[in-house]
Amino acid sequence: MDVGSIYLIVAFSLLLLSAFRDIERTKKALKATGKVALTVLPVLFMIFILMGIIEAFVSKETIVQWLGSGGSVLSIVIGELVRCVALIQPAAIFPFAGFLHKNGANYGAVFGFVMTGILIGIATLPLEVKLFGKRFTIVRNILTFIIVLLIGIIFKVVRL
Amino acid sequence: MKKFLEEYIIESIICIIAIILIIFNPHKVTMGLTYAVNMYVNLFLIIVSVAFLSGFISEAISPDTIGKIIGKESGWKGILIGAIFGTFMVGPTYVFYSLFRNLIDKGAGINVIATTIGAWAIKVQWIPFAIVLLGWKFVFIFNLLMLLSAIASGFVVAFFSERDYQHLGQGGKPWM
Repeated sequence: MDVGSIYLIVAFSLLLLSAFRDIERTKKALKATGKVALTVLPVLFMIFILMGIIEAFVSKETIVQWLGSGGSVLSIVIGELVRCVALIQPAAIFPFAGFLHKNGANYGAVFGFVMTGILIGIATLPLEVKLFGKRFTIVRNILTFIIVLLIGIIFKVVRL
Repeated sequence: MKKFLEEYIIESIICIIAIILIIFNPHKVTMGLTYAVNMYVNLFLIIVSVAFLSGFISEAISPDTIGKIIGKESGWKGILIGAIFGTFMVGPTYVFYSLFRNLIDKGAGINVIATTIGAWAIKVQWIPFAIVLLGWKFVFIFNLLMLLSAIASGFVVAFFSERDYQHLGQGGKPWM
């Protein structure tokens, strides 16, 4: 069973439970659902277009070329910057990280690459700004970038 | 026109980028659009379910309850709940942004939500797989440091952005 179906089952169970307990409140909840969906669905579609364009223009071969032989602190920064822009499916992140490591990228660069990809995304920044505001988005993303860089340096210095 | 641009600034910018790129490289833009449609179809169920969870929370759970569980005053308990939620949830973080924003509107702490987003990097279900590919030492230290930094970033983000949410609970308008 895929993740989407699991979420749908959870949502549907809550809907039934809620309808059983209070039908009026459930109607209000469904109305609120419609509002959220109508606000988020078009924005997400545009974000996916942006992701698709980035995916098409930044190939995996390019990333390997940039990171494959990285050995300095700069390679961690490059790893982070590349991953901010490049979009790789979550399921493919660790295999790709393993592949990068085998190709000569140090643990710091691999760490920077994996973490930034999950926590920062240029394509999803507009959505974050829209929902949480500029201050939240700027502080969270810059801070994440710095933290990942520092941890990346630790991984580079400490031999595992 | 001004109002439309303010409302749909993100969509307008992306459209302009796509139109410019389509002139220079229509093949890659078509690939990008195909990717977008596939992604949308794949994530549609999750997006709709999360929208329902947002709607359900906004109607069924009182702000007091949310405040007690993950509010600013919930302390370390709230932070821990946020971190565990982020660690175990599956799917891209951005799909859950609307739910997070609704939770903030209903009294959830900014630090708890920022911690949840930070803890998203730790994926319990991927740990065995990551150990095989990158070694257990790397994976263990990596996850431990990410958990600690998620909590730390939660506090820092809250410190800087809390003022943007101060109007909530004082008759201010939530995001939608």
